[in-house]
Order: sequence, then C-alpha cells, then structure tokens
Amino acid sequence: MSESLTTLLVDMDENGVLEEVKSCLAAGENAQDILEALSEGMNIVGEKYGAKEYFLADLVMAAEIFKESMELLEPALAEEKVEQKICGKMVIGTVAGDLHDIGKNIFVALARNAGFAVTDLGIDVPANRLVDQVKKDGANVLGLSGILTFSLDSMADAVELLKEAGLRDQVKVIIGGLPVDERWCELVGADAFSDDAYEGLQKLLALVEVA
Amino acid sequence: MMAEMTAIERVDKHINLEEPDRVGIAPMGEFYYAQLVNMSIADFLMDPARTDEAFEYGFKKHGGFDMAETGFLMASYMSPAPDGFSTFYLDWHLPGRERDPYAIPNLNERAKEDPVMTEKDYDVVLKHGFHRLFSFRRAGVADLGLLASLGPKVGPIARKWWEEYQVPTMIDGGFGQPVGVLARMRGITNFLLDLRRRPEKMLEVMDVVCDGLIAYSLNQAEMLHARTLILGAGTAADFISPQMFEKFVLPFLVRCAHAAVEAGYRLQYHFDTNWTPMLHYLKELPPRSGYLHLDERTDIVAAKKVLGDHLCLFGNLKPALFRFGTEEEVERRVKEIIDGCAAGGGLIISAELTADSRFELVDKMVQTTKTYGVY
Repeated sequence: MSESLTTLLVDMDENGVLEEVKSCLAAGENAQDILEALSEGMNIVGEKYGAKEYFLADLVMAAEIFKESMELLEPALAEEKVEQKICGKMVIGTVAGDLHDIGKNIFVALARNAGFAVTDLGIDVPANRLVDQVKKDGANVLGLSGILTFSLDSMADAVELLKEAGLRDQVKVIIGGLPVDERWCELVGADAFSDDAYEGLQKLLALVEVA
Repeated sequence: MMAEMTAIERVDKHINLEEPDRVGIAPMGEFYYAQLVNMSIADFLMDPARTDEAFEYGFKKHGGFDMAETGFLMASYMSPAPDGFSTFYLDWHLPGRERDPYAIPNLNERAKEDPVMTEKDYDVVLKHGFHRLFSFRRAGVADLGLLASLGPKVGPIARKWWEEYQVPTMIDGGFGQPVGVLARMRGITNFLLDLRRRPEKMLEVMDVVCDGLIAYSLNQAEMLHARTLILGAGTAADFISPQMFEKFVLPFLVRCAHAAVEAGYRLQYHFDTNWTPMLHYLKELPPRSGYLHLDERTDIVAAKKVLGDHLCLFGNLKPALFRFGTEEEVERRVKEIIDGCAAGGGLIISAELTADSRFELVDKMVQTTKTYGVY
C-alpha cells in the first residue's frame, strides 16, 4: 500500500489517492502507516519543488490532496489514539496592515506536514495578538509574513513585543514574503528569512534544531 | 553625442529598439509621489487632478522622467467588469474607506472556501457569456458616480503630458487576460486546483472570457483616451510548469496582445517574478509593441540576450532598495543594468517604488541613468 499511495500523491492523482486511502482503511490497515505514506509523498513533492522539477501549482495540489486524505484518516487516527510527533510549535500570521497570505498558507501546510503544531492567526494580525498566542501555546517559533515594505515595521513591532515579554531567547523568529532579504531580517531582528515556502521550511527545521 | 531628444522621441526609439540619446528613465512611483507632497493616499487615488498634482511635483523635483503617470489607477479599482482588479467584485481595502487615508490599498485574498466566483459560474460563462458575470455586487451608487467622473478627468491629463510636455504616458488603461482574471475571481488556490481538475473545461471558459475581456478592455481604453495599456502575465512564472504555461497562459496572452496592438495601443507587459527560464516564450508577443516590465527576480541581461531584438526592457531595480538601500547600491545596480542591456537601445530603467521610498535614492537612480546612460 504505502509505496503506491506515496507514488499516487507524488503524481498528484487526486482520485487515485482518495480511493487508495478508503480502500486501505476498509481493509483495516493501520492509519498511522497510511499517514506516513502520505507524508512521504508530501516530502518528495517538496523536494521536487526545491529542485525546480515541480511548481507552486503542484505544491498547492499536493497539499489539497493531503488535506482531503487527512479528513478521511482523522477518525481512524483518533481511534488508534495516534499521537503525532511534534517537532516544534509555531504561531504564524500575516502582520498588521498586510492581507497577503498565499505564500504563508503554503508554508503552513509544509510545516504541518513536517511535524509542527501550527497556530495560524490569519492576516492583518496585530503584534500583541501574535505574542499573546505564543505565550498561550508555549510556542518556540514565531512566523511573520508580509509582502509590503510597511510590513517591516509590523514585524519589528512583534519582535520588540516578544523581547518585552521576556520570550525572545526562547522563541525563534522566521520572517517570510517576497521582498524579505538579509537586510530586512537584520532590521526586524529575526533569526531567519525566506521568500520561498519550501526554502522557508528548510530554514525553519534548521532553526528548531539549534533552538 | 547626439542632440537631446524629447521624452516621446526617446521612448519611441527604445520601443523600436534603436539607440536614442540616452537610456530611458521612468520610475513607477504611484503613491511615492503622494508622500512627496504629504498628500493622503485617499486624496491621491480618488481624484486624478490630485494624482497629477503630486506626480508633476515629483517629476519636476527629480528633473524630469521619460514617462508620466496620469491618475488612471482609481478607474481600474472602479472597473465595472470583473477584470481582475475591480473593487466592485474583489475585497479591496481602500484608503479613506476600509483603511486609514494614508494607508495603501490592500487586497484581501478571500478564503478558498469563499471565492468571489464559484465553480457554477464557469457554467454561466459557457452558457451565457462573460458579461453574465457583471454584477456590481460590492458597488454603491456613489462608486458608480465616481466611475463616471473619472474618465473625463484622465483624458485631458494624458493629453497635457503628451502634447504640452512631450512626455508619453506610462500606463493609462488596463488590459485583462483570462488567467489573471480567473485567478483573482476564484482565488489562486481554487484556480490552480481547477486547472488540474478540469483542464479542458477551463480552456473553454478561458476562451469565452478572453473574448469578453478584449471587448471590455478596448472599450475602457477608449473611454479613458488611453494610449498605453498594461497587460500582465496573470500568473507568476514559477507558479505553473512550462507545459501548463503553454496550454493555459501563452495563447491567451498572445491573443490579448495582438488585439491591443491591432487597435493601435502600446503595451506595458507587466511580468513580475522570475521569468528567466521562460523568456523564450515572450518572443511570441508582437515585436516592438511596447515595453517589458521585469522585476529584480528576472535576469535582465539574460532577457536582453533572448529578447533584445524583440522588446524594449523596462525596470529591474528592487523596490525595497529604495527604502533600505544606499546611494552607492542604487548607483551600482543602475550601472550594471546599463552595462548589460543598453547597447542598441531598448532599455528604460525603472522600479516599482513603494510609498515609503526615499527621495535621495530615487534621485540617484534618475541622475545615474541620465549621466551614465548617455549613448
């Protein structure tokens, strides 16, 4: 099962994946194994995107198939009392004054697949709300997204509030969006930056490893 | 050194891929000019006369550019057609309305589950035509009145720049194309899924939408007395594979471009993100038909090699450079672009400035082009 399910996802055969998940569940196969096969598929799709073999449309499609599959799997996972491995807790949002979220949403899908528990606060999120959520979740990563140059100020505000809350040493900050670069990262006081969802995931994983 | 040309003569030469007196310079400033005169973005946006007042101040303060901005922008927010930009359909948050008067417009990209256009609308388009999507669902009487007042104001401003100041206008009308419109109306995620799930139906829909957009765009251009229309790629180069680009984007892009050119318009091909691996496709656009805006993510020297005998190149400086950079960095980048792309003509230096760009950095781009870019 697992190999064909992985291949079907990599080939983005939506109906094929969903039928295979249903058929595996009906045959009484372990939901955890099914999930691992799907996750492996997502990893391969991510790698192909990183290698420029796949494009953003492919990532979107694969994430959608994964989400649909999870809807089928969740009852069985709950029944098996599977506790998913969590490699980090991240709070993320598009910062105040900015409403763009396509890139953030893809990054969130990739991070969840990689094992992060993610609280996505959506768009136009004030700094205090982001920091309050970090406290509430006990998160070790704060993700800040934005594509307007004005967003730099909102990102910097969030980092400043994090410092004031005495959390800066415990929480890594990653920023993302088309215009972000090294200089932007320095001005905001973030730990990592990316203008690409897949590259952002690699940087997130590296951040958590050293955290 | 040849005699100094007017901006019209200079831009014409560049578009025809001939060497004029110097490289062109035409910042895409929009709200940057409002900031220079401390005008609210709301005032700048809602009244073409105020837009022109702010632009003319910036134009003179920088010692002149080779293209003028004419205040047509609000007309595109007020477009009655679902052309991918209109606030009549899309959830724009505009200054002085949903946002602070000094804030820039911001598009709320609707949730995947709540698109402006539903899957059923595809059937409506196929059965009844593109015009059946016209709904004015978010418009009020005041907006319809505002729309009616905009056209008559933009035309005389454009004429002033062309005829009195001898400066061509940069963009004074829009040209929608199916991918851009459907991606906005369905939401990018839904649209990408639609292309995967029902490709043949999407081609049929896009065919109908393309005809409707050509008709609407040409009518709007006439109303605005436009001469240069902006035609975007509608999707980023790295969004879809080359195979999907060939199937879903290129044929419609080329069709729209030919329709505009045959009707006598010049085009700004507005292609953001990295087009470097896909530049060869742009050879299919009508030659010498306008100028190709490329942002900093495309390798403009590679573009010169591929398209140097086909289209004038425009842009390529990173917008954030004008807020966070230094004068030395701006000067260095302008010189690099000129060194790599100026030979033979067909180069206009530009950047899409953000409202918070710094005057001295913009000025460095303008003055470096004017001095270093002399042929």
